Amino acid sequence: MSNDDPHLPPPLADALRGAFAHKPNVPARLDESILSRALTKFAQRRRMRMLVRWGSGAAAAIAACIVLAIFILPGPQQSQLAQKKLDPTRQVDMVDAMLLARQIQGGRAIDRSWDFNRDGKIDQADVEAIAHAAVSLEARTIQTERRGLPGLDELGVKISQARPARPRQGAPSIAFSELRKERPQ
Amino acid sequence: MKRVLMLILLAATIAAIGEDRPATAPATGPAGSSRFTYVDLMVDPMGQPLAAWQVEFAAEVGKVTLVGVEQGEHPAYAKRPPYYDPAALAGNRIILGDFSIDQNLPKARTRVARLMIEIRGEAKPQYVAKLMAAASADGTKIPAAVMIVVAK
Repeated sequence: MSNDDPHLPPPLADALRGAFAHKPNVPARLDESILSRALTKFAQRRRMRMLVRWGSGAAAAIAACIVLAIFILPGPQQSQLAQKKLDPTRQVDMVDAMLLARQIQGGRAIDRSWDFNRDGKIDQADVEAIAHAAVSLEARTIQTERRGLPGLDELGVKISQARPARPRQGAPSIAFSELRKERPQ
Repeated sequence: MKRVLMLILLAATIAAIGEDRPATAPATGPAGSSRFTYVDLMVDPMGQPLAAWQVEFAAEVGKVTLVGVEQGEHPAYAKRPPYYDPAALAGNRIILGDFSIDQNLPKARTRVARLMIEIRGEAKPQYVAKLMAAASADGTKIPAAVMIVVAK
C-alpha cells in the first residue's frame, strides 16, 4: 500500500498524514543543554588528544636527553678523577690503579699528575706502574723510613726562623777563628 | 796397661764422635725436611662489587718461603695472577693486590689469590693477612673481610 493508492479512503489518508507529519515540540532550553554538553565533550576530547600528543613528545625528548647524558657526560667518579690530582707524597694503592684504568678505558681527559712513570703520556703503562708501586715492599720501606724522620715542615719549624747551632766549648767555629786572626797583634 | 789405655782412648773417641752426630743431623733428619703446600687468600666484600683489593700477607711462625702466586677463582680475577713484588718471594711477607674493570665483579666471598709456599722444618707456620684496600667500581672504599684458608 502506498500514498498514491487510489483505493485508500481520503479520511484515512488524512488521519495518517496528520499522525506522521507531527512535529515534536522540543523546548529550546533542552536543545541548548544538549548542544552545550556535546560541545563540552568535544572540547575534552580535543584537550586529551593534545595532551597525549604533547606528552608523548615531551617524554621522547626527556628520554633522548637522558641517553645523551649517559653517553656524553662523564660519570661521577670519572669527572672526580679528571679533576683529582695524584698526590706524589701519598703511597698509591690498587684503588688508584683501578680508577686510572677505568678512566683510560672511558677515554676521558685526565689530570697530568697521573703520569706516574713520567713518560709524558697517561696510558696503561701508568696503570701498571701504579699497581707495581702499590705492592712494592721497597717503596713501603722507604716510606716508613721517611715517616721515622719527620721533615722540618712536619715539626712546625720554618727554615727562615731556624737559628744556627751554637759552637760547643773547646771547638771554636770557623767564624771565631777568623775573628781572632783579624785582631791586631 | 797399654791395651787398657788404648781401649779407653778408643772408647772416648767413639763417644766424642757419637756426641757430634746430633749436631749435624738436622741437615738430613726430619728437622731439615721441607714440604710444599698452598694457602688461599679469600676476600668477602659483603655484598658490594669488589673492583680492587690489596692484602698484606705474612708467615709469622716457622720457616716459610713463598715460591709462587696463582690467580683468583672469580672470572674478574682469574685472567692473571695478582700484582706482587717478586722480591717478596725471598721472604715471608708479601703484599698482593689486583683490580678489575669488568662489569661482572664478585660480591660474595671469593678466592683472590693462591700462595704456593715451602715450609722448612716441623714448626707449624702461623699466617697473618691484613686488608690494606678494597673498593667498588667507583673507587669507594668498602668494608671487606680477608680470610686465609690453609690447604689440608
